[in-house]
Amino acid sequence: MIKGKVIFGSILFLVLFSTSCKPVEDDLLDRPYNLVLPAGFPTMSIPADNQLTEVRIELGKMLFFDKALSRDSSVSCGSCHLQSHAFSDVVNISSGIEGRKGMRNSPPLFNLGYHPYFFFDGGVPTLELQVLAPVQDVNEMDHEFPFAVQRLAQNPAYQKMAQIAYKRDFDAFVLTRAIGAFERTLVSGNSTYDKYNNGNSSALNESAKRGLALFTSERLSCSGCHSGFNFTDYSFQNNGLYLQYPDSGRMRVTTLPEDRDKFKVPSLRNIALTAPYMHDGSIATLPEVVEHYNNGGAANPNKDPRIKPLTLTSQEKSDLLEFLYSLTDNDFITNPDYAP
Amino acid sequence: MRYLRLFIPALLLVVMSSSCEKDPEIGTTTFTLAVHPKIASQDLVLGQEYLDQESYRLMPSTLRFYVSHVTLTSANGDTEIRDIALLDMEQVEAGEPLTFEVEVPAGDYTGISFWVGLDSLQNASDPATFVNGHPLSLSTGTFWTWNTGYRFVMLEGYYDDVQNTPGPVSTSRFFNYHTGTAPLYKQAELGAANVAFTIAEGERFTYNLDLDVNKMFYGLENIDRAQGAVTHTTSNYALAQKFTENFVRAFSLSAP
Repeated sequence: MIKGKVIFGSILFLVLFSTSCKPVEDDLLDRPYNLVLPAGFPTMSIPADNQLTEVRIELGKMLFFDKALSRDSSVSCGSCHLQSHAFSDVVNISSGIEGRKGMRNSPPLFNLGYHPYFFFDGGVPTLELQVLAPVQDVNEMDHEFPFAVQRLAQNPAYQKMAQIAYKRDFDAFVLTRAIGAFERTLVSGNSTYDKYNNGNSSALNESAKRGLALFTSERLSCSGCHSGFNFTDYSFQNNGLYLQYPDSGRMRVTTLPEDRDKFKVPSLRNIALTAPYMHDGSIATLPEVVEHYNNGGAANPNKDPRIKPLTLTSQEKSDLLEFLYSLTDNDFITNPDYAP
Repeated sequence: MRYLRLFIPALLLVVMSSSCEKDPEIGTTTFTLAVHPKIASQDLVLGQEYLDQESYRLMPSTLRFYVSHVTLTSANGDTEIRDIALLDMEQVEAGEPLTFEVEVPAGDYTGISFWVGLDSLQNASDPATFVNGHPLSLSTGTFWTWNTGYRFVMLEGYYDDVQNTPGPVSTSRFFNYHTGTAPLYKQAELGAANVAFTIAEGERFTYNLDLDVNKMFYGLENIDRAQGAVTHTTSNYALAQKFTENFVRAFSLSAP
């Protein structure tokens, strides 16, 4: 599969740069892309106007790593979404152009095709629309989208790939669809836990197995929100991080007081790779996160009642961490298909 | 539902582009809704300073809003215009009205109504599916990228918080009213500005309305800019609501 993509990419590169004086033959290269999903994963719904093809994905990947998206060409999507960290960042708040800082932690990117909405407040309903936000955000790329499109459209390779993939000139539609297509291929489901879950009973050590039992226990209720194959129910919850939040979270979108200080429950897949933690990156390490839940959090009025002191023993904390470490998918972070 | 979301914008695009290409049908005429931005009786010019009705100095820099579901009422049945318009002062010469031109049947009409903003289907559009220049495209700068939907009204500028200042206005105090979301999609309250009119076959007809910035601040409820100068709707919903209620009541019939 990987070898095939490398060969395909090489052929595509040669063709694009050897046919610059010839008219583009629209049907020459593009082929449907078969997204292989891990065992146990449900079917992924893919928009009718953005079915996966090889050129769409390749174009999306090139755009994902292209700094020309930002106003001063200093940052790309890949600047704050590092493959080695499951496409998250290593700092609490990533730097946009000119070192500008927003207010939220850069989320990891995987299994995005299953998300019903995006961002910590869930304000954006599709992967394609999500592309607009970081480009225009003054603290990220600070680029008026039409100007970003205009700049990228000057790239002959992008124009050719747009014609092949979407049968149209490079425009906002192509830019949002192509990045959406690439991001939809970022699928992670081959962790040690997955191997265990798929029948290899020796994949998890005894400590991790005890941690799994704790994780799913009624006493801890972790799996109440971090549920399902993606370890999230995509709900909005307050976990008692603060008594008073500077960021109102979901309420920013709904204006409802009951949504104040609530944030989308993140997936726990690859959690060992995505420090720092929480919506604002305020907790540096995974043991500190476990300690936060063990203490029961601050008495925020919207805190979920399941967040309460747990009185975990040292052994239990260690077991829980061992289970969380088993959610790391090393194949995902080394997959050359996702690299620039 | 997903298909519907794509179909509606596509349909709108077809309707809008086709309406520009067609010759007027027999029995129809060109109707223009012309909105004249004002401050009291003065023409509003972006970048120019004014004293408002309470003698506070201000300088508007942006005025942009959507008009949709324009309906001409008639004893023979209403004529609803499906096209939408983004009326944007940056797109017209200083002193020129903001216009929305459509073809309608000639005849006697008992009045007019329209909505400020976009209905739920229009507001759920994906702006990347529209070509630049379309009212729903990204080129208008009205789409909220962090949230679903468009800004229905954008009024921006600078103000002084002390009365009768000699000017120039302080550029350190800015106002920024961006309203949107379904609850703030409101029908214009035209009141006495809603009058009967007749459109003769083959003739152009213009319905002239003034839009008074004073009324946006001193309307159903007064807005003290010093206490509430910025709202992106969800950031200060009460202020956005107050501004919207004033805005939809800020229209009046232009003097002949």
